[in-house]
Order: sequence, then structure tokens, then C-alpha cells
Amino acid sequence: MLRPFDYYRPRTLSEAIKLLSETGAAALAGGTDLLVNIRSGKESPQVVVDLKDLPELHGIHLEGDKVWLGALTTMGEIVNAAAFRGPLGILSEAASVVGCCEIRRRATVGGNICNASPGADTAPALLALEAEAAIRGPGGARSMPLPAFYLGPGRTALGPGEILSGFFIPRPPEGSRGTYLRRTRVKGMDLAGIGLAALVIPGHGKRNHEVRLALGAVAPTPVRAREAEILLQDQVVDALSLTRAKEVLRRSISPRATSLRASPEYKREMAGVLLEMALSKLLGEEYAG
Amino acid sequence: MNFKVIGTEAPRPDGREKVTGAAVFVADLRMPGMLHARVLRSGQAHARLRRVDVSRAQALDGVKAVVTGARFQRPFGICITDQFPLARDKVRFAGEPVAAVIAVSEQVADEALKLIEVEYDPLPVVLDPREAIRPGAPLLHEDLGSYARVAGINPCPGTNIFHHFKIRRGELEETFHRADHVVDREYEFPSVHHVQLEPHGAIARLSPGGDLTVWSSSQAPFVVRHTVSRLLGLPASKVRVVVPYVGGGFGGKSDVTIEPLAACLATAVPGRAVRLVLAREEMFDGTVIGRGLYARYRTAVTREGRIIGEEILLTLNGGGYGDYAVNIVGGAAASATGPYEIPNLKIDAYGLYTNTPPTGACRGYGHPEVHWACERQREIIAREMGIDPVEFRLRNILGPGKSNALGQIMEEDHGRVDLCIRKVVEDLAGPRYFAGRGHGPGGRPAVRRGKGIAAFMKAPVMPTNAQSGAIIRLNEDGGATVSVGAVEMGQGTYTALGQIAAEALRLPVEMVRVVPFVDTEVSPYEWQTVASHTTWAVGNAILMAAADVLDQLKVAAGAAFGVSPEELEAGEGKIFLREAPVVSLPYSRLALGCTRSDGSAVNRPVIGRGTFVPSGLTYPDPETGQGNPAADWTFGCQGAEVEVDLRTGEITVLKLVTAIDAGRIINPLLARGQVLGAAAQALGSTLFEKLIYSEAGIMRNRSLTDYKIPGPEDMPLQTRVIFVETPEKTGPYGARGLGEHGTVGVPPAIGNALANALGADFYALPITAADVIRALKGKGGGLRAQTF
Repeated sequence: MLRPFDYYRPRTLSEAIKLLSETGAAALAGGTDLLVNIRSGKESPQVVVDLKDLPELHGIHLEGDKVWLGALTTMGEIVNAAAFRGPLGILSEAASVVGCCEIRRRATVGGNICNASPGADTAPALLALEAEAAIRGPGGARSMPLPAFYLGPGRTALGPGEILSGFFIPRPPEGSRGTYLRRTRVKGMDLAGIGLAALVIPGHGKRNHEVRLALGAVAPTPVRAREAEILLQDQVVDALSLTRAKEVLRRSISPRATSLRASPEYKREMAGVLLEMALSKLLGEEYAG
Repeated sequence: MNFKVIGTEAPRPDGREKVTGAAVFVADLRMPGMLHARVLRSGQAHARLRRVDVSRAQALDGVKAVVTGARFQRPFGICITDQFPLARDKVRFAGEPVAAVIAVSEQVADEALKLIEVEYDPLPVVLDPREAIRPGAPLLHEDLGSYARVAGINPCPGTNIFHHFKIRRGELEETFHRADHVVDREYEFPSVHHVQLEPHGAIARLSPGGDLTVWSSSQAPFVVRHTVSRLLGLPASKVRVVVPYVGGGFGGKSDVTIEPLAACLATAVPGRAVRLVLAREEMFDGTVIGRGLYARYRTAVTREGRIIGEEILLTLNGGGYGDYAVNIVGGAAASATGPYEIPNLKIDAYGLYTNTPPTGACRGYGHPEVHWACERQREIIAREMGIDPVEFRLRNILGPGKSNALGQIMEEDHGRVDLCIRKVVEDLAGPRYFAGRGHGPGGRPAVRRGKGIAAFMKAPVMPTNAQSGAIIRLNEDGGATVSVGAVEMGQGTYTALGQIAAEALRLPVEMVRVVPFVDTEVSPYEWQTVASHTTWAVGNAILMAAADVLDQLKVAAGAAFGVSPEELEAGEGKIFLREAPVVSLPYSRLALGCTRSDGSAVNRPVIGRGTFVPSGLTYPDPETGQGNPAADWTFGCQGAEVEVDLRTGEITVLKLVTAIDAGRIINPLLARGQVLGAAAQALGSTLFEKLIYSEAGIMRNRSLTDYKIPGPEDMPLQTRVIFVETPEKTGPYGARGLGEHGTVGVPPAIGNALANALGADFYALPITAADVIRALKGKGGGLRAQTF
């Protein structure tokens, strides 16, 4: 049952910021989370501020050595964008498994991040890409690394009136490759029981300069797995280093015991398995593990 | 026989309407002055109701009435009258209606629900039927002994057992003494939900004249009429139940669900229609759920691979109220052996009250539950004895001259389960089929494949006097309008019944229309649209009605031609003289009264009627279960090939094959759709589906976010349906039921395929990736998994 609310669709950022500064106001992007929450009674905003007419929140383009990704970009647009092939392809891979075709046409990357679900599919990809969150608000513009944006399940660093306008994503060096793998209960539309993004930045020879890892649905927020990364940095990935990284990865996560999507036991097991699968996909080798 | 319409893929008359969204369902209906009801549901699974205070809710603007259990004192129940439309002294499951608000809009009603104050005295909760059966378990129904009940129900007052059904054949103890091998295992089929696309809905209006009308999404309009008329003390003729199209039933809309409540609510606001349409989440804990069976099988086998005896204990979760789970107990027991002849049997089936939502009918009605156990058990026995599992099944198979668990002797026309098994094995291809442990396809060491089969049988579980009727009115253009009491819920029944009518009336199928709704005020009586029995039973009624029409036509044409009716034939929409076919009259001239050249009438309008009741069915003996309660049996076999990723545990069903002897197939396209749809549904309960409760008995996955059903991506790339058509002598044109059967063998076929792939036995459904990983790591145990 949809409870009544006032609906605004501001044309300027300042108007939107003003409306969102009021208590009881909620920002609407694609609505695939907000409307579900209103219907279930989880949220009951008095004012809904539709952001879709704000030009500052749209677009994908290069700004210096970074890619600007507007918060209102839909999952479908990311999947089809030329910018998100190659080194940044990890994000389109993550966006391609969100919901179903219909949802991907509405759901936005900004909404996915602001909803602050621990299992948001685009979050591990953006974490691995070291995206910065760009914020506009009553105090002007500010930005912060994505890990700082996440405070907890459903909680972000956005203050009253603040809007996530988009992301600055540094382009990884040429030759970098990434992938996003996840486990779900069914093969079709489902939320991730665990998701893992891996980005490999090549070094000299078989040595990788850097391996970045981020996971979803294993902790209160999506997380980078720095400890495991360190074990793989400047290394040739072999059975030994992989086994150690898997072990560290398994130990570093703290899945919730009551998840209906996957048990902690399975999540721990899969953290290692997905790492191995990701690396064999990216490095083209099978590890006995 | 040369058929013109039977066996053709006639298009569905409701197809275009449904594809374009034009078809009307209960939730689409709007009545003048209609009010909206919302239900306050218990947040406690087991508690005494201390106080329900509705005064604040009543005071809210737009609220027309707030009702509680205090208003309605009559109990109802299909087999045992053990429930009330709104809880009175006690709540027995979380989700049970405690109060309802009737208001000008759903939104106002929702607001008012928040203002109702309820105080509970919590009681201990029992969710597992194996615990509910133990002495000292929390007792749900203190007054079980005093409840009215139908014949054949055997409750044990002072316990949670609302029905105990027994089968006793031969000498069990002696049999186990002389057995060469004994296999003893326990299996679990958890509770699931039907997840019908259309939510349960009912609109009820009490007219100023005292007539009650209920528009409902029910599979059982005449059961609703009966129940509501008794509940409200109205004559059946003053209760009208109308059912438009139903968007999926699967048993979860059979008998009664929300209709008694909707009818009671209508009495609180006489003259106004009250609309109650459930939200998706309410469908999970506010209607009936399905399955929920624990099964213990102990089997005695000889060295030669003959099953000589079996002891079976079935413990069914009935939930808070007996509902229709009562008859699942007997239905499950009757089919518990699977399609095998076992001379010595001891089967005890118990239906248990627990603090879950009530268990109702669910596509397959006890049969998928017991086949999950018995067909896994057959596979395990064969493996332990070193006998090929196909050969082992065939050595014990039921067939003509052999008797089933009920003591019914099988006849030729019951069909060929042996042939179904052979066809499935052949289709799953051959020599590598049972080569033992699974193998990985070339170059993919992290993957194992395996194949498995499961044979099955199913009878309709129904009253011995389940009745059906049909009325055929001939129209002035020579076409026919057929009225039946069966509900169209997506299965295509009006298409199949139209084909039967067209064949019998010798008309093209386009000239026959089956009335696309049921209205108890004008439609002929029908027990209900369940048990895969509509084509069979209503089809028989239609044959009789069509014969009546042809008789009337021949009498009329005979009078017109001045010949005796015996000299006439019907064909291609005409009545003609057998000896001189050019002498003929089209149906169109005869339908509404043919006239002679002087204007005098030859005949009266042609209206045919047909009624059917199965003959010779009897109650099973209460001590031995022997008798003739099952009208017909449909046999079949299903096979699966699975692939398992050893790293993630992910299971992919590559292929599903079904061979079914459903007698003559009326419409192959619809029949395949029914079998495949059923198989897909069963694939869901094999791999994904299970209702999960907190310790306090609150359902935790009552939404489609967390109750996952299979999507297109989960369907096997290869599916096959093979029809073996042994004509059924009691069926219209030799047809038998097939609507539920595709669910029955899928879980064990997949379970057996997984065992062959992984060398691990799974005993509990659903089998998830996490279960596979645990089994591979040797961490199984209990019912989850064991490696061999």
C-alpha cells in the first residue's frame, strides 16, 4: 500500500538541496528501492524529491585522467557504455547482474550506492576501481573515497540536503582487467549471497603490480580486502600465494549469521573460491588451490 | 477411432485476452459503493488472546466497521470444524487473522490496523511435526475431541494428531526376519508455498434481501458456497459464488481460504460490497502452505532384489488448522510405496497440528512428498545391493494383476509404468547412464555430471462421491454453449473440455464455447477443480450431456422426416438419414424448435444435461487402509541430468524428461505445457524453496525477495515430454488426469542424479549449493547429506 506523499521534481540543484534539507524528505532516483520500501512501510517520507531533472547528476565522460559517472546513470546505460569496457569493464559486469532487465532500465548506480545495502552489486566494483563519491549539498561540493561514504547497513555519510551527484573513477593503467563474480540462490533475478570484484593491474612479466579485491554481502558494508591484496601484490600468483590469500580472505570477512541468502559458512568458503575463480579468469590459468 | 478434434492442438479461447491483459480477475472487479478490507494478523505463533481493543481504529475517519472474532461464533472446516474466520480465544499461527477493518479505501483500512491494540499471553511454540507428535508437546487444540468432522477422519484427542491413517498388509515382522537386506532412512520435504501469480481475492456483498454474493479467486466455488451458507446460516440457494478467471491455483485456492472471512465481513456492512485482496506477503502466511512431510522408510529386500516388506512412518505438518491437510495424510499413505507391488506393509501416516500456517492442497497432494522418499530409497537399495537401479525398479514394478498398497488390483487400462521407465532411460541415453560415479565433461575437472530417474504414480484424492455436471445449450446457429462448474485457472481446462464437447457433438471446435466463468447460481454443480480430475470427470459429464443433445436432435429430426430416431445419424453439424445422407437437417434448424411448413412446431429447444459420479469408490477400511478409494491411477517416470560445479556447489539441471501414461491426450500442446509447468514448479522445491521460520514461529521469507522460485534461467536447456497413451476405460475418449503429475518424480530424479554425480546422498529438500559443498567436505550429517 503506497502511502501519500508530496512529490517534487526540481530543475535546479539548489532547489533539490533545499527540499531535501527538510526532515521527512527522501531522494528518488530510479525508485527500485525507495518505492518498495514505501510500500512495505519501511520508509514513509512526507516529501519525495525526484532527482531525474538535475543535469549535474547525469552523464559519463572523461575529466582529466578520471571518468565521471553521473549518479543517475542506469544499470542498463552502464552495461551499454563504451567507457565501461576494458579496464573499467568490471563495473558493467556488476551492473549487468542487478535485478532483471526491467529493473536495470530504472535502477541507477547512485541509488544502488545510496541504498547502502551490504550486498549492492556495483559497490565492490566501484571499491576495486577506487571511485570517489562526489557530493553536492548546502555546504557546496565535496568528495570522499567510497569506503568513507559507507557508514553501515542503510547508512551513508550524506548529511541533510546532501545529494550524491556521481563518481570520479580513476582509469586503471592499460592492460588492467577486472571481473565481478557472485553467488545467488537462483540463476535468474536474485540478490547476491556474496559478491567479489577483482582488478588485476599488471606489472613486469608474470608479476602483478597490484591485485585489488572488494566484497559484497560479507560485512555490514561492502569492503575492500586489503590484507589479502597485500599477499598478492608484486607477486606471481601461484598455488601457494593463492592459498594464503584465500585463507586470509576467509578470515577477514564477518558475515551475518541470520542471512537468508547464504550461511556464514558458505560465504567464507565462497570468498576463497570466488577469488580463485576470478584470478584464473583474469590470469588465464587454473590453480589447483 | 478416428478423431476430428481430440488429439489436436486447438488454440486456447482465453489466450488473446490473457496475453493482452484484457482478461478480468477478481482484483480487477469494482462494485458500486465498494468498501475495502484489510486484516490484522497475529504476530504470535501460539498465544491466548487476552484483549483486542478496536475503539481507536473504529474512530478513524473513513472506517465503516472493525470486526473481531467476538462477532462470529460458528466454526468452520472442510474435514474438521476447527477454525474461525477471526481468532477468538487463541491464535495458532503467526499470520492468523485477529481483526479486520472495513473502510472507504485500503489506505484508510491500513491506517486503522495500526490503531488496534492486541494483548497476547504467549504459549510455547511447536513448528516441527516430529516434535508435535511427542507426548508433552505444546497442545494446539484442547477441544479436538469435540470438533465435528467428516467420515473417515481419525483424530486423537489430547494430542496434536488430527488424523491417523493406517495401511496394514501381510505380516511385517516375519518379513523383516527373512529379509536379506534392510534399508532404513529418513527424508524431509519441507513446507513450501504455491506462489500463484494472482493474489487471493474475494469481494462479498450481503444484499438487503439477505442474499449473499461472493466473487472469488477460488478453485472450489461450490465448497465456498457450502461453507459460507453453513457459517452464516443461509440456505445454499441464497449464497451465490462467482469465479471469473483464476490466475493460478495449484491447490492453494481450493476448498476455502479467505472466503469465509470475506463473507463474515460483508455481514458487518449490509448492502455494501467488501473487497479483500491479499498482498503478496499475506499470501505466504495468510492462506494455506503446501507439503511439509517427514518420512521414515524401512525396507526389507531379498537377495534377488525383491521388495518383500516396507514399514513407513509419515509425519505431516498440518499447521494451525486441519484444513485440507487431513486428506493429504491418506493420499500420501496410499501412494507411499510408489508404483511397486509390496506384499507386506505397515504404513502409519499422521497429520499434526503445529504453529505454522495451515497446510492445504499443493499440486501433487502428498505424492511428490512420498515419492521424494520412496524413489530415493529405491535408488539407495539398488546401489547397496549392486543391482542396476532400472532393473531393480522393473523387478518390483506394479502392473496388471498386481495389487497396490490399498489392495486395488491393477488392470491393463491403468497404464504402463514399465514402458514409461524404459522411455525415460532411453531418452537420457543409454550406456553411460548408470555407470556409477559421475564424470566431468572433457577438460572441466571442476565439474561433475550425473543422471537419475524416478518412477511415479498418482490417483486423484477425492470424496467417493465427487460429482460433476455439464449443461449444453444448442444455439440458433447450430453451435453449442457448454456450462460446467470447473474453474479455468490457467491450465486450459475450457479448451480441453471444449474439444471433448465438439468431438461428441460432431461440431468443429470453433462452434463450441465453454462459458468462461463459474456462477453457482447458473453453473452445474462441480465438487471442485482439483486432483487432476476435471478432464476425466467433467469430460464424462460432457459426453453424457452431448449424447442427450444428439438424442433430442434425432427425436426432433425423426418427427420432421417422419422416421424413427434410430434411422438417423449425427455428423458435421447435421442430423441425416443413415440410408440417404442427403436427407438432412442442420443443427441450426433444430436447435430452438424446428417448424413445419404450416408453422407448427416440431420440437422444443435443445438443452442437454450430463452428470457424473465415479462408481464403486468406497472408504478404506479404518484398520487396514484396504479398499477402493482411488478412482484411477496415472503412471509415469521422470529423469534428470545434472551438472555440479565442485568449486561453488552450483547445481545446473541440464535435462528433464517425463514419460507419462495419461491415457488419450486431448490437446498435446496444453498437455505438454501442464507437465512442463509442473516439472518447473517441482524443480523449484528441489533446489530452492522452503519456508523458513524464526524460533518463535514467524515466517522469515514471506516475500519473493527471499522465497526464490525458478526463473527461465533455471529451466533445463533440454526438456522432453513423452506421452504413452494407454486409453483409460473410465475416461472420456480414454483420457486420464495429468495436471499435477509432472511434479511427482522431479525431486527424486534430481536427487538420484546428484547422488550419481557426487557420490553423496541428500535426504532433505531443497538441495542447495551450500549442501553440496558441505557434502563434498564430508560435513554432512543428519538429513542434510551423506557421502557413500
